[in-house]
Amino acid sequence: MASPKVAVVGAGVIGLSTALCITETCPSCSVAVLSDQFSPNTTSDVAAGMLIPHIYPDTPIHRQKQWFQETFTYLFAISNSAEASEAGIHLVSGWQIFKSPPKEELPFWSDVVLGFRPMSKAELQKFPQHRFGQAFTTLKCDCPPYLLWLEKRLKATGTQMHTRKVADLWELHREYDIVVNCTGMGAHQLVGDKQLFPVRGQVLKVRAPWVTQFIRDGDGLTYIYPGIHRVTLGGTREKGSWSLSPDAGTTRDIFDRCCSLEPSLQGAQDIEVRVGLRPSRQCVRVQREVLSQGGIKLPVVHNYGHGAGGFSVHRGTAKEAAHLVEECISALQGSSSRAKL
Amino acid sequence: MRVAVIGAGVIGLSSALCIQEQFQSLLPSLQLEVYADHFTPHTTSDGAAGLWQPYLSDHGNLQETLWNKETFDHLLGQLHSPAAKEMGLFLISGYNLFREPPPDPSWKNIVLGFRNLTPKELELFPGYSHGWFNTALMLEGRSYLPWLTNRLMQRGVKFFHKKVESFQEVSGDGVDVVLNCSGMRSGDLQPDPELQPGRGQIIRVLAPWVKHFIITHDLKSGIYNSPYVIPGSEFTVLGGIYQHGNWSEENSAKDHKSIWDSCCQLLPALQKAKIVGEWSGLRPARPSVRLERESIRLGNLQAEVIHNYGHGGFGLTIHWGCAMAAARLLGTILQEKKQLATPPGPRL
Repeated sequence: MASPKVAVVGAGVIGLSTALCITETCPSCSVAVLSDQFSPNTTSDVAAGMLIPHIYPDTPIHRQKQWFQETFTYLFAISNSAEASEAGIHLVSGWQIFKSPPKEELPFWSDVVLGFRPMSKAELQKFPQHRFGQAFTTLKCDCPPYLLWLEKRLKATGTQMHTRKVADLWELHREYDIVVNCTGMGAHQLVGDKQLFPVRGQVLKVRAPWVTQFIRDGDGLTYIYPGIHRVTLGGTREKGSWSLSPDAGTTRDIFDRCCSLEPSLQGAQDIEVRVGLRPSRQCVRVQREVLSQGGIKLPVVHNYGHGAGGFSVHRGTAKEAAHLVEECISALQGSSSRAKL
Repeated sequence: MRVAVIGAGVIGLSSALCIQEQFQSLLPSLQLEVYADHFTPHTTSDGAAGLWQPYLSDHGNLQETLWNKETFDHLLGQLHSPAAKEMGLFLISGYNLFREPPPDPSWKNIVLGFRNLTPKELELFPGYSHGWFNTALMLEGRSYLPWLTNRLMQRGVKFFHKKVESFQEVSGDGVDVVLNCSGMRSGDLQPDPELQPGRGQIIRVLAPWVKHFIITHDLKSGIYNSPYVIPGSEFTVLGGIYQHGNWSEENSAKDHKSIWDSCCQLLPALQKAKIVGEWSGLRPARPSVRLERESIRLGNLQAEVIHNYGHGGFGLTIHWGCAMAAARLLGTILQEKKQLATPPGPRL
């Protein structure tokens, strides 16, 4: 197989980073990204893009840690380079605070982020309702810049982008040799994965350039994440809700909760409300499969179900998916050479 | 009882406010006046980035460290007030970087979360072998001075736009006490060879992805002669110039290049930052802050002067501690003049 044709379905952070990894591991591959939505209309564009891992109950911790480490290392290098501002990657320091003691004093990722340590008593005075806290420095991927930067890198390798709704993976078998499924929430419909469920998140994106520190309540519901131009205020975790319409009562509630942690947000301007559905699953599905229909085989690599942790592990899962694509190519080459005998 | 404040930078305005807050109710006859040739946004305080951070060492001057602490604690207490945004006050974290092991600074227990940098953090800054991380405060002069001015005007303090040429000019006019907060130009009112300009130049850029301050240090070249990057609410300040004895307030192309090259080396992404301004200013440098009373004989009049100048590159950092000390000195004067039974006010 001289130039395997690979279709990556989905153009959020998972689709674009997976496509990029494929061009890196398989330079002879011809890669195309197919999606009905591109930035700024993907789920990734709603997310704040903070590198703070979400725990997947059914993925071994060492694997989650490896994914996070690889992602952090990759982005750390970009944040330190001349491309940082274009890629939208920047360091941000702040606090994760708890009203009651956290389950684990040291999360698995505490030695991956920078400078992780318990908050001092003086620091905790800023949060009178919280009794424990962790201070650290991590990375943030601002979208759209990060997605646009990935698209630019992809186009430079000759990768084609097509706005196209794929209703069935079999649509692609004539034009492509391998399909990579990075459809996030779309996989529910596209491959009928009933283990995939939405966790609705509403956020406010506001202008408050004096907010330089992130603040996250350990319960995961209230957070303040300063980005390049806007601060993301969150949020909600509504399991099973498919609604993409902003809710006014929720907006008020998010704003109030964030102002109680950071009173200066009362002066925030230009409030934008956004909603995204976290494509959630007990474990991220990074897996190879060969679909079969009427004697035709279609190799598929799945990379979806990252839920609340997409940005945190995207590069790690993209690399794993790219290796699975390599395996597909070897398998195809193996079978095609057998066919020649 | 007329009190004239000369100077409308952070020192003059905060001294006026402190005095107003402490004495107005006790002394209804108190009339405060502020005289200055430059007001915000044209003062030295307006040009400074606004980062709360003293010099590395107080050279044993514990009084200044205490004033710094009083200022930090006072500002920290204001952080959650509705006025914080208007004051230009907010928390910021960042890095101090060294090429050799530095002694602990006088302010390590004043700021929040002070610690040494980890090896991984130092990877961000090739060439620097040691450093600190801490959370401090920003107090932007361009917001703080207007806020102080508004508070003062609301309370009936009068402002006069004029260049005061001598203490006589003000005290001979029926003013009882003069506060000399004239910063760099104090020497025009009373020669002080210890007061020298510490010229600085800065470039203002748009780099909103930078969320931390980064101050590098070259222990041999002296303070602020090594690149620094300080993000503010409207723009990011790039600097690294401290020229002792240089009175020029013109921007120098050579200094521009030095700042630009060294800051871009520190943070390569700055190469893409848009330049939106440039400014030069004179830090009113002195071996120690002059904060003391002086009785000056002017003809057959005895004038009481309270000096409060010489805050170098740490005026915003130390201002409130000094304002309170100046107010205490005024209290003593008022007591002597039998205007007050005992000096009011608190602490220390």
